[in-house]
Amino acid sequence: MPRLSDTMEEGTILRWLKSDGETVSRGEELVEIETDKATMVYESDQEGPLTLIAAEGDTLPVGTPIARVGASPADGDGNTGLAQPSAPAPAAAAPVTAPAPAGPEPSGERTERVKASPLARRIASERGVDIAALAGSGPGGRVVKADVEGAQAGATAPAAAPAAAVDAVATAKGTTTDVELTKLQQTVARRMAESKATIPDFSIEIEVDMQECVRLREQLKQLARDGAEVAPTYNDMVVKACALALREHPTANGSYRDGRVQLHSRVNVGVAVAAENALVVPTVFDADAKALGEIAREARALADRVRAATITPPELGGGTFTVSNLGMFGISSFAAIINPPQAAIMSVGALQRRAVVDEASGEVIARAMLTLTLVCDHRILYGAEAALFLSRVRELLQAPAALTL
Amino acid sequence: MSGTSAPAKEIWVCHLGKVPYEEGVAMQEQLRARRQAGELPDMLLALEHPPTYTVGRRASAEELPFPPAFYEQKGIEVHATDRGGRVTYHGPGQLVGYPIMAAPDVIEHLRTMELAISAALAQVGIQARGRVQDGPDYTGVWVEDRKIASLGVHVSRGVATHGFAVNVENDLEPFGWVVACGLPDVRMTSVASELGEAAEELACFRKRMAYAFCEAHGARQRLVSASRLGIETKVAVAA
Repeated sequence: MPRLSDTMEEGTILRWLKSDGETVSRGEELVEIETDKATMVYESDQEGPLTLIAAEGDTLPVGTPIARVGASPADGDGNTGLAQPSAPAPAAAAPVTAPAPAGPEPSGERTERVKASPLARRIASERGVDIAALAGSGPGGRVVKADVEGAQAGATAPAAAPAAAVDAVATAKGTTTDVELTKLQQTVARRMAESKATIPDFSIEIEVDMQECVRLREQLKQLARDGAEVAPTYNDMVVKACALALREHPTANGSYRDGRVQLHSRVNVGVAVAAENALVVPTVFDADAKALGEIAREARALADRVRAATITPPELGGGTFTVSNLGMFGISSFAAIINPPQAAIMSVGALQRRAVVDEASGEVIARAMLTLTLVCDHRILYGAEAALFLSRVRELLQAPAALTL
Repeated sequence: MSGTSAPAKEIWVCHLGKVPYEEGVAMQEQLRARRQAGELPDMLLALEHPPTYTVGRRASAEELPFPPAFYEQKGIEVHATDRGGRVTYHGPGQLVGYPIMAAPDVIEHLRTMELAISAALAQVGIQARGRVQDGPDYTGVWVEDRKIASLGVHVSRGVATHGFAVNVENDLEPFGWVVACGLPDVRMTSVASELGEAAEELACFRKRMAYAFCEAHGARQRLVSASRLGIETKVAVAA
């Protein structure tokens, strides 16, 4: 890997402009290399057939051979692939690398094609550890100090533990496969970590008697059967109830951003949808002003588009509050992670028939109950306000006529 | 800084107005060849592009996450490019600067651009900086954790093309429709969103920027017309 800049440490092979075995002449463009945000075309300073060593997409430290010009692959010297400082080489095989001024290896200690830190090499040679036999844990498999020390600890372990410690660690979890995160998963990971790490959150929980909602839904289903309409789900009812309550409690609909509270004029409720290997939150805009049936249709259409991957960015942004539901999996209650910069998130559990004490008779009866958990950012939404908001949501769900307006 | 020690070093600055992306590429290739041949000195082209996403070599398909029809409907073209970096957006109101100049040390070239942009922004009251310490993905110029300028260059036979893009008064929304620079969730900002009403227009800022660029290179600015560079006629778009 040629040094394209004094401060360059590694580079990525973007594209070979010549193919393996092709004969190149001096000054011809060989390869495009990217470092930092610069792409650089590197020209051959040698003549002869080209033997590629590094593949497109490889990221390598400066000084690592990436190709050879001028030697046949069968040449005896050809397999060493050393990062020798390429003085204008009279030799037939001239590895395509640039002089690496602060050479990464002390010249006496070269080991074939092993990437290792200078410190690791020194310790290895002092202690007689074969550096080539080690699996490097540094960037790009580079052998670092800890690897050398680890290997030595393994080698000098008491006879009571005959198996090398290094191996035992490697196999304790069976075979491990690394799966790269997609861009979407990286976003989810970053935002969730940021949320948990920076938001002083607390959660409050309430039990909602859903008897009236169950009755309402039966009626709406009846209507839907006649008119080929979609009957709203309990989640749609929760969305609508939240939207109405948010209108009355603007801080719960706000955002915390850069030390300020932002209050929003629109109530836009995001509905978390589990997609394949990802979590997407499409938005029902102006949910407070929409009829329950409209919310139902929209939420269903959005969820379908998430699953079909045809959702567009405007439909994913602009949320002022989020509703997350795991009720369909039988989860009674849970505390979701706040979707920053929103003030709160509503976690909806499963509708379950539970034993409750009837207020009037004092008897234990079975009722359709739902647990709602509100997780709040205490920088904006305090306990009392949050409690008022959550009990208002319950009130709306226990007397759902207001939801149908 | 870049080799020549003569004190009277000049950078030719040419303001080109609005240029379609592909035309800009063809123009740069033509000027690069003449710069490599020593027919022209170091140059800085200052211009604007119509709404365009440009996709660097190392970008993955997921970085344009929505169906092509969506971008088409928004009137945004998509072009592949040979510069370093991943995906970015260009559009009216954004100042694009293409320094076509000898770049003996490419990273130095990037860092000097960052310094020049930060200096121009400081003059209008925006505290901005490069973030070398955060790694190559953070190349560019930032105001706190908001990105105000993006960089990406290509060097061939010692001469750099492509360059920088400073958000001055452009619409920032299209950045949200791609994974800009491979960093999901980077918040973009612009001179206008940092300063509000008090912000100066692109026409003023581009002069300031060109001057700061030459200054950062220890060179004198010489304004030249497109015809002086031999690009007064429309450059044929490369097939």
